[in-house]
Amino acid sequence: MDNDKFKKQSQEILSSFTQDPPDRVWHAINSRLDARKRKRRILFWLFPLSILAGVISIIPEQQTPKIKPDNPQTHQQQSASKANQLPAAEIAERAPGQQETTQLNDVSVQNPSNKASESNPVKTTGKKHKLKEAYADELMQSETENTANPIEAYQSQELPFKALSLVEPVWQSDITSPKPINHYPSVNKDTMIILTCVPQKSKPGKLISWHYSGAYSFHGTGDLEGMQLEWGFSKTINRYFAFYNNVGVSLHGGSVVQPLNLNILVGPSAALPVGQGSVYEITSAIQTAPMLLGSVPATPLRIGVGGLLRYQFYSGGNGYSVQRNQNMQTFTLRDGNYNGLSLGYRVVVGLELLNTKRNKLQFQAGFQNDTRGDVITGLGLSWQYTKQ
Amino acid sequence: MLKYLIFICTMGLTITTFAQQLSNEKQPIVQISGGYSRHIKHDLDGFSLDITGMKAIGKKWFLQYGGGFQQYWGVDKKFDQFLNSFDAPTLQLETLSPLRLQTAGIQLQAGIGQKINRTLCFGFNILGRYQGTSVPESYVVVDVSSNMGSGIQIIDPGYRIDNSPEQQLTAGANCYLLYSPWSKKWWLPGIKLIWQSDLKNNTLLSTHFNWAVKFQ
Repeated sequence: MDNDKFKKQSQEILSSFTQDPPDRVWHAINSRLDARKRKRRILFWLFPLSILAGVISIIPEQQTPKIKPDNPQTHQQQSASKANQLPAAEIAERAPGQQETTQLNDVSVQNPSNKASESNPVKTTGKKHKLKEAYADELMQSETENTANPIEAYQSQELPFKALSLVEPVWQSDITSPKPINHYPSVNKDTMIILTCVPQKSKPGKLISWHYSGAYSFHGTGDLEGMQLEWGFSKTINRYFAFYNNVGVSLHGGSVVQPLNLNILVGPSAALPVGQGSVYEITSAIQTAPMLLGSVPATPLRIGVGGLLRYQFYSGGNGYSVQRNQNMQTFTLRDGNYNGLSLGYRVVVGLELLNTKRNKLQFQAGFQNDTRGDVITGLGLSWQYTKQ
Repeated sequence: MLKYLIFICTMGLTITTFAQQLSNEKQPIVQISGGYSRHIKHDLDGFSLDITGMKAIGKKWFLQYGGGFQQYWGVDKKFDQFLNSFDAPTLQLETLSPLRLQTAGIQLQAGIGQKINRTLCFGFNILGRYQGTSVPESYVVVDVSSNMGSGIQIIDPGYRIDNSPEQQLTAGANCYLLYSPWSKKWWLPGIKLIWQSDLKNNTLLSTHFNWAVKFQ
């Protein structure tokens, strides 16, 4: 009985006892719950957004809607669509300078800060920006001059977003980086700029490639034949250009003076010499030809042009005389001018045969000329390995 | 003699002081080496250059591939003797060039190497070589006299060349010993001894200063 009493009393005392946890605990719990909710929301929207982005990216060109002719701002948007064919970084910079009314799939988005920006125009400083403005003005003028009916002309144009996505790929890092937009505070935060990105294999400006080239080549007008080897590395400047530095060696040889047919000259009764040879010329050289490599857009053609510094070794003389004395044929060399340094130029045209993520194979034709009059033409292969 | 001894002792001290281990890291290494070379078959001196890429495949072994260039030249020694023999002032001797002898080759090579100890490594390459030479198998120096109708006898020293060589494409092998005691942050200097031979009996001996660049 005493035990039961004690139990009841203790239950009564403890039932009235409550302990409140400190506020910071509740805050922490709330923040966790919010974070989970946010994650769920993100996950919820991520899937349909990704599907939507995928569908937009695979819409064929023919299905893109045209701007209606009754649009009052056709002319300005026509120039805007042309201007949007610039690279994305430039577009981001051009954005505040243009009319900020954009149309995407016939849905117009009016920027509320448009009036404010018109009344208080942004002072654009910098040569680059002025050049871009001049470019946009030039586009507008050319459109008005070339087209009699600007509405019809605009109907044939494609939407800006398509031009961005297909004509000029943009780098994702350039878009997400806030730096270009912060340069122009007039860009309103409510304005949504949609730029679809084309994935690119590699970003220019940071890649170094190693080149190995070999060619069957001729020195002069085909008198001497031989081989050229070249090693070098290139660094990309932008999508189309790269700077290529290299070291090359060449070796060519041949008999310039052919031995005469002694059977005809001497006659069968004369004693024939034992073995007849000729002066055999060798030219070998070490050279470097730093050049600018460029690729022709949408073709497998590659072109390189650059200077040439060449040191050549030569085994022959500048002049020969071939004389016969009964059964002997002799060569006399005159005015030997053998080794020397020369300057020149080198041109390379390549046809890309293979292009993988890291390796490229080119069929290459080269031509070079220098101040000593050495002309070398060659055909060969060039292998390029890009370090990711 | 004394200065050579001092030089060798100084080199030995330097090597001992700065001796460090060859790089054990897996990053690719590009070696550029060049130096004196001798073409034993043609008895000519010259130089050679090599560019080699290396990549480690184990703790001690590494793969290597690259190319090389060799240049040898010399002047016919018989020619000077021939000119000296003509000392008669009545003879009009034309100023002529001596027969200049030259051998050059370019090659591509690939092989394996092994580190022997902390500072020494050994390598072996298989190579394809393209060589051209102006050295004939044999030649004789002759005098060619003519008066060309003027009454004055002109004597030209000339060459009768037998069996001009052709350019050769051949296969061969080389092996080298690389001593690289100075390991820096991104480059490895060293001294390299190379012996090379091919199927056309061309034997080359080279001593190179080796410059290896490490890439991150």
